[in-house]
Amino acid sequence: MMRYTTATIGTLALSTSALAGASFGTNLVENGSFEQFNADSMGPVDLENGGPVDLVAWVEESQLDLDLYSGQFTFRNPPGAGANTLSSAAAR
Amino acid sequence: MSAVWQAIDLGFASKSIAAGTAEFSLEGYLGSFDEAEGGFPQDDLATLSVTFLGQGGETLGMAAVDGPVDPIDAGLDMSEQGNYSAFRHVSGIVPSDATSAIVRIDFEIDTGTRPTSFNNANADLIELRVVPAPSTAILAALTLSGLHSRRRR
Repeated sequence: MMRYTTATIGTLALSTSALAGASFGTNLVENGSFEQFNADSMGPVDLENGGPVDLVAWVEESQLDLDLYSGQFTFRNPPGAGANTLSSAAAR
Repeated sequence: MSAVWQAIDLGFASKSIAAGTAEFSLEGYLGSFDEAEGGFPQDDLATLSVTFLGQGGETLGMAAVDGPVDPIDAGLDMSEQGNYSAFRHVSGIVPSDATSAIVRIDFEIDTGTRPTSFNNANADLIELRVVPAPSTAILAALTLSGLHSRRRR
């Protein structure tokens, strides 16, 4: 199923703020301002407003429940499907 | 395939870029999901890339790095199923005519062993930085200065 996401968080806002804050050595990526294209049944969702995990590719927004703490990348399946936890490759 | 992308204006670094002395560093955590040992592998893949564009939108250069396709590739000893991610990094010189960049992450679903409808590839903490590379003249000056200091002791 092909679909375009309508949850794009404005490119115009990105351009303005990115220019204002851009300088040598700073992170030029503005998390929360990605445009998205979803070709898979479930596609990337911007999580910036929900916590430190910025992007995840598969979950529908209504099913998100992600937390990142103490080097643990903790992932919870959609409600009722149980939870999985796995140590990340590096503590953040 | 799913993707996210973001356009970034590089005007603030135009002098260094034009001089060919602007370095970029692209990094982030990329990953996917896998079942426990003995389970079905799911090699969904996240790829992080930056494409440098000229004034007219023409592509001047590109750099990309793939995320891990399994926990071992991510440096993990996985005993249970779950998500994983690993740090990935690529760097280089910004093409001298570049005026903007597109940072993009592609999420590719594995259609091989056991196709599913879930794209599990993930990405986090994506960063693109541009820094002025130390010029040869400055390096030479620093070297000479160091030699001078040693001789005076």
